Amino acid sequence: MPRKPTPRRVTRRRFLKASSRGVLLTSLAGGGLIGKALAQAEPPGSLPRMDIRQVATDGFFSFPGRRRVDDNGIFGFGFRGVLDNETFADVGFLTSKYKFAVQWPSPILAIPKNIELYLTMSNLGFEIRPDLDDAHTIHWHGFRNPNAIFDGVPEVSISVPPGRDFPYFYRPRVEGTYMYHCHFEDTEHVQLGMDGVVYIEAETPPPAGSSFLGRAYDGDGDSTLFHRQFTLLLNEVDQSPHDLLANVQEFVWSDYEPDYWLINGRSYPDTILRDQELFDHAGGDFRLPDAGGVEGGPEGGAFDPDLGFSQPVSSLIQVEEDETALLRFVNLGYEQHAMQLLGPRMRVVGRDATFLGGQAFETNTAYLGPGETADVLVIAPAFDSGLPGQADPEGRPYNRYWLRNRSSQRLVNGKQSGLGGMATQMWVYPSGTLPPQSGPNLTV
Amino acid sequence: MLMTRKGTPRFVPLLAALAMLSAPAAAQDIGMLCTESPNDSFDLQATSGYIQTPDGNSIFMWGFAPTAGFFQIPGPVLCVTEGDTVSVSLTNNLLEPVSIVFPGQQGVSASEAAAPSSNGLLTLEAEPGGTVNYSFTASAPGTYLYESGTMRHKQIHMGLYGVLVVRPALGPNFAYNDPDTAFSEEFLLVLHEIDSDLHRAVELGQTFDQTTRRDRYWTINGRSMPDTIQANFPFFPLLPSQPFGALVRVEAIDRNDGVTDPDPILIRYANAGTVNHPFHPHGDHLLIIAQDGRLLGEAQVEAFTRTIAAGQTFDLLFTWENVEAWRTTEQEGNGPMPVQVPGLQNLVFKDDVTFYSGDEHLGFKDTLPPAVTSFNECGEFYFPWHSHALHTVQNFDEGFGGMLTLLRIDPPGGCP
Repeated sequence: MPRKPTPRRVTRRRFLKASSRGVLLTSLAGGGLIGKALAQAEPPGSLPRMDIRQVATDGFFSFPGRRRVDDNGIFGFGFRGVLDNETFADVGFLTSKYKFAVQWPSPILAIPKNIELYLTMSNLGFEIRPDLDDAHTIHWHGFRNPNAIFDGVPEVSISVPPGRDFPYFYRPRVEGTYMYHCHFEDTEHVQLGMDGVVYIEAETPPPAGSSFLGRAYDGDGDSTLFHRQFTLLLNEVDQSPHDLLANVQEFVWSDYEPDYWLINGRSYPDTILRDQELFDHAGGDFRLPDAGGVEGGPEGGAFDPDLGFSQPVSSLIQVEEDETALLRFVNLGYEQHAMQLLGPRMRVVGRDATFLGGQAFETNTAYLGPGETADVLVIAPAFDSGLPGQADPEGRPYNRYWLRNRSSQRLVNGKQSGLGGMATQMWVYPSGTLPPQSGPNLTV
Repeated sequence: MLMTRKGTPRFVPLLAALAMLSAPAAAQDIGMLCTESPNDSFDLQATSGYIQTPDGNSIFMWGFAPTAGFFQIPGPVLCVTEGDTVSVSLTNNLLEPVSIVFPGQQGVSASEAAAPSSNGLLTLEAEPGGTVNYSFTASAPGTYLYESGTMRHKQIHMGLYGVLVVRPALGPNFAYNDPDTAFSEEFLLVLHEIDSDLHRAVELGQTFDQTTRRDRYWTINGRSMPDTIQANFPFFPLLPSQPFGALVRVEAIDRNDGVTDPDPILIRYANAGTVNHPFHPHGDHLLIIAQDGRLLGEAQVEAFTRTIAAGQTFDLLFTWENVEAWRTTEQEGNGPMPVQVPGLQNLVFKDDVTFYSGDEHLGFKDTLPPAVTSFNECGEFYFPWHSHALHTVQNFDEGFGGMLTLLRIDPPGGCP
């Protein structure tokens, strides 16, 4: 068997030094879009370079009937972003700042095609379960991975123990919608919240002079152009393992029986909250205070804008009439979901990051098995003041269309009465009333 | 003709005698094991036995087994060729009526070969002690299930299922009558799930309320991870009633080595269970070419997950290419790995075991921390291939189990 020559190891210091040159990163402490700006490639890299830093930690999430301010939040794990200028920060600093400041979903990653992406994940350990030495990994689900070590499966490569970090390296080649999640004890860690959406952007700009923001796929014959885009990450929550973990108990995973159903880490009606209303919602329940935990609680102090919110991503689909919305559906739950849009047709143009071309089809119900993605275009119908709707907090009128799970048993929040669960809304505004969208899911 | 792996399978001398007793015609350590018959006539019995689960449980099952052979789950893989007149006789060694239906086959006739038999809801049933003959023409190539047609809510769950492979007239190395469906090796992955309480109730002759069913084990080819990655019987002799391994193994394609467009491997999916399973390989996409024994044609598509509905089959072509050419060679030195892999003192491995080689390059091994055991042979890569309903990659309550197997990527040329 050939032995490789003595490796020329790059020290961490040299790695950081090299990578700090010419690196730009946009990350929002409140979640949302991470990173688009690129730096010039340096040898040995032959492609533009992009750096993203994420941290893994624990904390509490807020759902209707399980509010954090009531000391009744749901325990979970998650990946979260850091500030731009902390991309290369020391794991000790990040631990002191971000430990216990969990977020769900993990940051939405919008990745250009044909670059070199360094996604460095730091494991900050758990605040509530200091007895657990769980490692974490990042598994980019669906990525054509040329090396098992970047696939993030601990049993067949390496994992990141507490207090350490590891740069996952990717050269994204095929545009479309993917997902990422922790693969360490994946049944538990994904259910606990360590998952998010990653998509690779098409390279070809929209036709010159058109009003489109982008396209989903290159070589699409202009059939996947869109004005606004929204990621819709589907999950379920079974409260039992979350509660048992927080209380140092074991869960039997074949007993899995969810009682909350989420889009982007929230259940209805929290799903339709605009970012602008998030700060005050439910008594400020989503705010993350400067020491993690709950604002005003025994551990935490005042709201820290660097930390943002526990569940920062809205699922409200705001669109002007005649505009095309791109919905990037991702199912990282353990159940199959049939997502139904009442009103406008949905056109499925991509599945599993594969352009469907002539096999694209129209439907009212997008079906997604666990681990599947779908790229769906919706052309907003004309605004009609006679149709259901009202005015948003800015006083702008809109028509309201429901996007919700066809299974009404999944439109509940635990034992709470009334509509909940995996539902959100599409608000269709008259032309000329909405500012352009500055990032996926960012409300206007 | 059977596909066999290159090289001499290990354990052959040791277990040749055992191999003589098992139904499959040729010995191969991994990949699909065909049972063939010169006159396309197969003698099966419905019988009972036990399977082992990785957590130490032992579960009472019913299964289709060769009449002259031993109990096995799933039933033998019946391999025939398009146009053959296939005859399957079923002898009932259970204590209640049983039958076989062949979803996807047309014109199946049934006749009593040995009394007693009786007319069932779907087909002629063999009463205990009786034998029924089923006959049909295998009219279209593809992957099909055969399964119980009697008390299906219980009997299919108990394990009365198997796979029928119809090979095309074009040749045994093609999935269909289409030159684009040529393959180098083939792998069968049959999915099923088990509620151990139901099996216990059947074993004790008790009734079972189907509405309370809760599955605890999930199987590929009748085994749960990590048993799925063990070799076929008899190469792995410890699971005699679960003879089919589920490890998928392929050599990396490296265009730098001048390897271009080799035939892909063929994966045959079949969901013999009663719930749908979203099945996901790591590492690369699948090319889904056929569903339920029919080519998809223009609708063939790449995917990284495919939810296999209960009773469905899919045929997929798969290759794994080293797209970034990161494999090192002695000439090229250490290769353009872009990041620093942590040193030994910073690596931990769950339960001190790993499939990692200690070296991030394909085809190389290196030191691992003391006390860590590596299952890696020559620097090959492993990727999971599993259900993404993640509560089903459990053995009752134990993770990295259940409906999960591994994809093994060997360096070009294979392990030395």
